[in-house]
Amino acid sequence: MSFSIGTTSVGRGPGGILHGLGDDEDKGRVWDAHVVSRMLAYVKPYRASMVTAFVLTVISAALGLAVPYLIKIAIDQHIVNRDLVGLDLIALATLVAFVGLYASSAIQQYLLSLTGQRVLGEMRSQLVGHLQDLHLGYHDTHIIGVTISRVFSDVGVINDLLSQGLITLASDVLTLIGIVVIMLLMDPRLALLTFTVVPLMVVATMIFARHAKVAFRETRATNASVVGDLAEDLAGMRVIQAFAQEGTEQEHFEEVNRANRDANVRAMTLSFIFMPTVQFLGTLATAVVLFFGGRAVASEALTLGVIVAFLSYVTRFFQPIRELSQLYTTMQQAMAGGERVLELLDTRPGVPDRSSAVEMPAIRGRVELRDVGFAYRSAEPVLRDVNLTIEPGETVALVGPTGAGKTSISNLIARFYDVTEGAVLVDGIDVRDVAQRSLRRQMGIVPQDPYLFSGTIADNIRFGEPEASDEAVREAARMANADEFIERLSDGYETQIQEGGANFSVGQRQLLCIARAVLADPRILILDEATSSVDTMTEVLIQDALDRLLAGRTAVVIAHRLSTIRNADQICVIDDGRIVEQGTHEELLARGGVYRELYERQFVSASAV
Amino acid sequence: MKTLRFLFGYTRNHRFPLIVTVLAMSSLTAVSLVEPKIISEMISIVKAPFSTSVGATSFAYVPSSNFIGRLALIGTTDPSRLTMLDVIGRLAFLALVFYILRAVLTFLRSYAAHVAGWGAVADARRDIYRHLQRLSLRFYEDQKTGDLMSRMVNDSDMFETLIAHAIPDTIVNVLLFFGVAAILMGYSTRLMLLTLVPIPMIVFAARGFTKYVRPAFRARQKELGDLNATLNDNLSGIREIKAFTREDIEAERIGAHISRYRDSLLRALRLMATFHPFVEFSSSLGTIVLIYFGGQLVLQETLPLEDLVAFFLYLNIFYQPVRMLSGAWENIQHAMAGAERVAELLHEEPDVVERHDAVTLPERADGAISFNGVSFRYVEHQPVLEDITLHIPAGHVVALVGPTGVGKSTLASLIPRFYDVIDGSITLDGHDIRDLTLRSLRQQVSIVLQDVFLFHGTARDNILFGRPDATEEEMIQAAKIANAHEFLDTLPEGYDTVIGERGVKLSGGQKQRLAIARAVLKDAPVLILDEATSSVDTQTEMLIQEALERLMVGRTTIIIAHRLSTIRSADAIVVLEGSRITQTGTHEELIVQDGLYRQLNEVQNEIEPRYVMLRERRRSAAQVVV
Ligand SMILES: Nc1ncnc2c1ncn2[C@@H]1O[C@H](COP(=O)(O)OP(=O)(O)OP(=O)(O)O)[C@@H](O)[C@H]1O
Ligand SMILES: Nc1ncnc2c1ncn2[C@@H]1O[C@H](COP(=O)(O)OP(=O)(O)OP(=O)(O)O)[C@@H](O)[C@H]1O
Ligand SMILES: [Mg+2]
Ligand SMILES: [Mg+2]
Repeated sequence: MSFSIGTTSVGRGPGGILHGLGDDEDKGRVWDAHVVSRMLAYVKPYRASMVTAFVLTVISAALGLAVPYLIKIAIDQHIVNRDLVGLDLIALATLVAFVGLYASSAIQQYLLSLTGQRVLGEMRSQLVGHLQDLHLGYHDTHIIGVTISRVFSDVGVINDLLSQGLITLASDVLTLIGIVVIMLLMDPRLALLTFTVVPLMVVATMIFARHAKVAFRETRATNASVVGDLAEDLAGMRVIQAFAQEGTEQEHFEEVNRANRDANVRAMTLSFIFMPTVQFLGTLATAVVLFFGGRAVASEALTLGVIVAFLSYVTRFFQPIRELSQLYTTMQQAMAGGERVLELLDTRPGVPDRSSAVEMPAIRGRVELRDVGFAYRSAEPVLRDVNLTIEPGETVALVGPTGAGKTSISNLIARFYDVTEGAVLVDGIDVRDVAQRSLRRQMGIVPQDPYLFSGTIADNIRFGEPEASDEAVREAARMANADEFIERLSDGYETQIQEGGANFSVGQRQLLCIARAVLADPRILILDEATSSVDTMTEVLIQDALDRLLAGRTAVVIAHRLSTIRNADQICVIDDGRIVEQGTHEELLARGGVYRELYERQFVSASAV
Repeated sequence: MKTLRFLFGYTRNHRFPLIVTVLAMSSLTAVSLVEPKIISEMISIVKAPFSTSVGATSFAYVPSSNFIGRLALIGTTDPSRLTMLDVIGRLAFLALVFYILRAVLTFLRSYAAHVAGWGAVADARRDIYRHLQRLSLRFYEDQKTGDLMSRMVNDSDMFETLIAHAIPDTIVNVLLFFGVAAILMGYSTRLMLLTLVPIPMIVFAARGFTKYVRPAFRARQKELGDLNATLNDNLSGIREIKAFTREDIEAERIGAHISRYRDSLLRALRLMATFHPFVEFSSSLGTIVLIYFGGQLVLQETLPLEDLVAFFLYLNIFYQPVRMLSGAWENIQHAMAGAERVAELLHEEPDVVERHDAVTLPERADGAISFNGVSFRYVEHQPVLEDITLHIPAGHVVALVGPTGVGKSTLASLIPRFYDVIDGSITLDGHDIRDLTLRSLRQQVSIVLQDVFLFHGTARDNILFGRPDATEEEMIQAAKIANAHEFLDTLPEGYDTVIGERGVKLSGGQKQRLAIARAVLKDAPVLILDEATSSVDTQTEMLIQEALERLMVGRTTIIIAHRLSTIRSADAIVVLEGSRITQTGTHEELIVQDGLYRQLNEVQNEIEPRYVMLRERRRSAAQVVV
């Protein structure tokens, strides 16, 4: 479970404490064959573009190398020898070289960014698709802000490597070889003298790389803290303002923000020591050329043109080296990013479909929990020995104290989680033997903590049935008793709902969620405190409507307000993860147990006043 | 221009590093200009054999009149005694000194520039954050969290690009350009002017580039924000997506967003991919001009060969600034696109503002609250509350009752001034709440919101949210009142259990109880409980209520509840219907009136036969279906 962006985890509490959400084993490897081969698979479809880009790179590198040589010829052969025609030709050749050089590099750049962005897009789409498939248990433990930044930043660094890095690597190595060969051919002694600074440079690069790794990791980690902190504060702004905690939150944010700034400056400082060092070593080589080359020219062992060309090559020689050292960092980041992306892609949903899973046939509606045991965290059982059978068309109510496990039972029926013991069967088929989507497609669920998406009201009601007609949407809203307030809005069904439903009252949100579940035309309907924030009059109306809908369908209703569930065929009282009482309303009342107690507290005391 | 001024505002706090940057840059420019001078000096020496064909032995060093010549002679009294090799050695050493200087200056420049750049990013983020906290809830309802985040993180990052890269690069390269131009003029004015030929082409290209690339960059930043927002919305509703098997549709929908983002990026990249090579190409035309015309000038002997060589060397430095400027130009465009979005956010005016002469309420208010003819609406022409007049004496318990969506939560949220009334006024202890500082007002109000929000962190962090300095005992006491202690105590990690983002790892009732504990611990004179126990079972609810009863003594309390059993003991029950108050009174008074309150009560206590009838009807229907 190592999924946060950095070692400093991002989750934070109001007290400003960072809570571990996993660690970041940034191994700092520069080359991980496994990661690279997996990543290369994404580039494969674009092989043609990549090869073209590579060829163009070779061409532009070669042309770039030709220019100083042309100048050398111009000086040594034509200017010194006063050859006007030759000079014209050289000027023309240079022009051609430049045109070729920039044309090829323009096309190459474009091809690369095109390919890069396509690969990037595909990778992101795949990640997003995968996120949809991961089970709820995964999402329970991962912060949204961090997951989002994974989709952007980690995929981004991989792209840096794939689209730019590999080609830069190739072109730099080629350029280096080319320069070395040309310099050796032009003047071996001077060339060898120039190369004496290379070992120094290698040492400098290695030292830099080691420190840079730590520094860059720090920048990523602190950046993740900023994002995580921000995401949550934005979401909880109402609470922050209500508790007048702006000051504390601001302080905390500034702390994180400062840490991020300092980490960035630190990482950059390293580069700023490194870059001038490499540059200096490069110019050292120039000094060497000047000193020895100057003497050689003086003793006529060397022509002036060679010196000019040499100076030009020396400058070019060190540029690829500089780039390679930068690439080193890119590679490290890409490997780390790649690893994390792959890890996410390789996270198997905790609730997998078996390979032998079949489509769930049309559900008749018999639901059976057989000796079910369940735990979210292995050591803490939430449900124990739950046995429950719901006949087709029956409505079963789950009641009991908070935290007893009612929502958990409904989660198991919809197979959001898998049981740890026993089995859940629908129409006699173990839910683990069918494709989970084919199961849920026939269910309608109003979760306890419902979420509305930004979009119009109609879009939200249509959520499970995008093809549903306007009339069907209206009908569903009528059933949920939502049409009344929707009609009053000036934009009616086209009113925009803000993220999470913020512009509607909590009760109205529940009505919309009921409409959404109703429209899905479910064979099994799960209502988890679906009307807890709705006034009783409206609730009664909804119940009457649902009652008609439920004819022949199975329903599981969870509610604390007993008026919500009195018409259930069967009532189960859950306490501490077990079913402690079971029967019809009348039976349970007659038994004089927990249910009766609950009932009397709510009703008898009420009417007694 | 406005954007630029806005951006420059952020450099103000970083004057010192910026001055260092500029000084280092100017020195760097000077040093870079000297380098070719040394080379040309050296070449003028070694060229002697070519022009005079005299052996190296008869060498006599004639230093140039410039300062390089003087520097080369430091420590000798008689230049004529120097051999050619001595001079070359001296010059090479001189070059070395300048290189070291250049390395040091380069470091200084980049370092100082980045201290300023990242400093400005941090400042901008701090400002945005502070501003976001000031903005009222209405703003948040209209905005998407993901987009706000993107503005804060991705767009403000652009400040660094601008301050640490674009601005220094621009200054240094403009200086360099003119410096080199001046020096080249010294060699040959004609040649200099000739090499300027490509400049108009570059200027022309840059203008076209600006025109198209800025919108492209802006589009890109916007798409990025949109994508962020969509993804955030998607992940927040993942349970719904699964419940309604929308996985594929959603993946496709976001995939389309990703493609749009990619395309917007590619549009910008396409412009860049044509612009850069074009500038490079135009600038390299200078080299060709030089080979051709320069060569001819040398042949005509109007230009000494070493000057042509120096020209070649300078030309690199001459066009480098042009190339760098084109890069800086691009960065500026990019930064401006980001800055525009940041500025947009910062210019957003909070609609709940503190008066400049707002007074701070004394330590603890008594808690008398009055609504005087209050009207409120969220959206034009859709009144939510109209002409609400309500006096709540200090220490009283008032319950708000009414159908879903009538405006109960809205009324409650006017008290801590989450929104401002449209008409009328609200007073706390006789002060119009708009005359009070927001902070001192909100410190008087403890609220349990209808849709509970918990922070990712431990249970402890969440309870302590309103009063981080409370003692352990106080915290446990609050948890006990909220009936949260019982379940927290049984958890293996107790109060230090991490509850997940928004409390996903807790049951609905557990979340509510933490929220109650949080409000209780805040210990304010005004307590608002908005459906605070809607997800709690009746038994626990009763326990909480008993505990709260004790707490309510001496506090003004506003309770909102649909479950009427919870509000019966209130000093006054206020019934809202439509957008007005229709009934006020105690339970006993209202129950005998013919009105909504009695109806609601009757429905809640409705006799069972109705349900029995419903059940029977459903069963018989089911038999027909099966
Ligand atoms: N995602 C989760 N991860 C870990 N633990 C969880 C998770 N969801 C619930 N729990 C724990 O499992 C237990 C049962 O929770 P559940 O939500 O099923 O209760 P409930 O009966 O629905 O309660 P309520 O009436 O308050 O909604 C609780 O102790 C809760 O803390
Ligand atoms: N932020 C908002 N923007 C626009 N309209 C809003 C906003 N919040 C609420 N409304 C509308 O104002 C009205 C009153 O909402 P409010 O939340 O006060 O109702 P309520 O009485 O608390 O209902 P419930 O019992 O469902 O909680 C509703 O019609 C709702 O749609
Ligand atoms: Mg529940
Ligand atoms: Mg409300």
